[in-house]
Amino acid sequence: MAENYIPFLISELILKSLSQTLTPQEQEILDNWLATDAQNSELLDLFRQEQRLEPELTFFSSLNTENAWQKIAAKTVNSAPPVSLWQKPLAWRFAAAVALLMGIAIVFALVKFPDKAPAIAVNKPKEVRKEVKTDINQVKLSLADGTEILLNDIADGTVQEINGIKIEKKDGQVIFRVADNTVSQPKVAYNIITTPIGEQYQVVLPDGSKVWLNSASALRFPTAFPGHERAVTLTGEGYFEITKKKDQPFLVTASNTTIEVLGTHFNLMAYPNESATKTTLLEGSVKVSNGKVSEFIKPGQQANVTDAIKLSAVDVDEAIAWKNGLFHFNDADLKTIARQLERWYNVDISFGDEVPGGHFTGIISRRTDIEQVLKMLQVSGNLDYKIKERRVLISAKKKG
Amino acid sequence: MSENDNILKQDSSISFNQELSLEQLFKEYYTRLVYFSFQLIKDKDAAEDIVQEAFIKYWHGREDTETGNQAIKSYLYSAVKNASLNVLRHQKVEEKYKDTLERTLPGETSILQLMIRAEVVSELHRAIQTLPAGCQQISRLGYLEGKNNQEIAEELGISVNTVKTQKQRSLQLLRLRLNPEIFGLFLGFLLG
Repeated sequence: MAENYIPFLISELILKSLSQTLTPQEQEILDNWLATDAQNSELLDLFRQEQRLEPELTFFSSLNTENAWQKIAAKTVNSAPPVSLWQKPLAWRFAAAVALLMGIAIVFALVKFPDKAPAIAVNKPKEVRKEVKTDINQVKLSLADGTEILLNDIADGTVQEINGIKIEKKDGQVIFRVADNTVSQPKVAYNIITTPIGEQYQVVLPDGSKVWLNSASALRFPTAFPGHERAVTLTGEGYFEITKKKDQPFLVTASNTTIEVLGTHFNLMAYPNESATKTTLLEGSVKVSNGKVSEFIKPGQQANVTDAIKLSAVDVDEAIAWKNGLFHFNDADLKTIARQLERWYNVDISFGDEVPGGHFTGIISRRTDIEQVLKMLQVSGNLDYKIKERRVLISAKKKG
Repeated sequence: MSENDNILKQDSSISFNQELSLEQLFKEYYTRLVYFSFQLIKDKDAAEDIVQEAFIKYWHGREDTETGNQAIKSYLYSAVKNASLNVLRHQKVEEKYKDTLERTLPGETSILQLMIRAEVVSELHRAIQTLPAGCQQISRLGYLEGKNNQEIAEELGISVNTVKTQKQRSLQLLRLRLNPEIFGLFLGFLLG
């Protein structure tokens, strides 16, 4: 660890010491630090006396970060147009030239100049993932000819190419980029990308559309989109940003639902163990159908598809929280929370004689370890939990 | 405790890998950096100016700055430190501190301590802010204003027992919330 980071490490250890979650090794590091200077212990004592901290806490409350940010934004991000106007066309001109030279229609700019997406798709607990990988769950790419390729341990910063699909791992994020093979392979074949529990991937389709795949999901897609429509199949959950093509609608099929769009952003949840397929629209307009009836939904609406289609207004942040590395619960009951935890931490959650009642509201980073999440539920609700191997038992709190 | 009981526990001593936008960086680090500078120069407005300048400087030079949130945080601290020390040097030149001529610029060790203080207090502040409203009020009255359970109960018109249970809950929640990995939390528990 770089020397500059030592104060950050020590701060983290102090916070852990205050919340009594230090491991023996961490305690040793902290003790060593305390021993190097008498003032260090005084500092630690200060944090233990909340009354003495009042002036500092008041100082923090007195600052208006929002106002300050408005000032800074005007001098930084909001004054950026001259720079970005100049940079973008250049990047695109370069991309166009490259595409022309190579004679292929991959949007090279996506590779060379990845969008600074406002939210990064993957933000996950590394250790959990490692744990899971040794398990049954592996990154799997099933090719059209039936071969299955297990992609273990892709090193960070590397690109692999298999059958025209570039697999790129950068900053812990895995992106599959599918080249457009319309010319070289006129006959369309289908591939499937499967995400294991505890992982999220991004797929860039031949038309430039992007799909973020949540944990325990699969996307079946063609090697090219030569026909009148662009069709894919989803199991599990995905967030779609579809490139607009007026003459070529994009179709997503997921269990009982078909969604038809021209160009838009939406989230689709179709896990087999959820009672309904839920489509949440962020931008544009989509048509949702279950084979019998169909409905158009507007941004901010969610379509609940069973035998019927029910529309409701929802918090879209909640629907796409997973894409931003968060769990987002809004008045959720324990069973709903349990299903989400099972899909991310690869655990089986069962309940004792009765499911503890109550509803929970809040946001938690998906990087939080599961024990911590369960502790929060325990403290907030009237429940107890037990963890044994990969099984979690949740029961109502005993009286007394 | 058997080995199995431990299987789901992980070491969480790593920072976010996610690259933050300038706005997120600003909102995450602004108050702690102002506090850090304030500890050195004892002038709140000047401290705010210094920190804002540091963010602008970072933004314009970001292509040459190491990426990664730790590295950026470290860069910001060091920019704020240098600017604050410059203010102090300038004050010395102006001989504002005639009567404290023996006063020397803070050394590296005390600067590290001030950084740690800024880091820890900012997390504590955040943890208290995220407590449910009821707990927060009781926490403030109890820990910060030094009132006893009876006084708190009278002020809020609730029973002493409720104060006790709420205090207990606040403490537990506070402990959990102090984990820097957790930045959003259960805001409340609604009886269903």
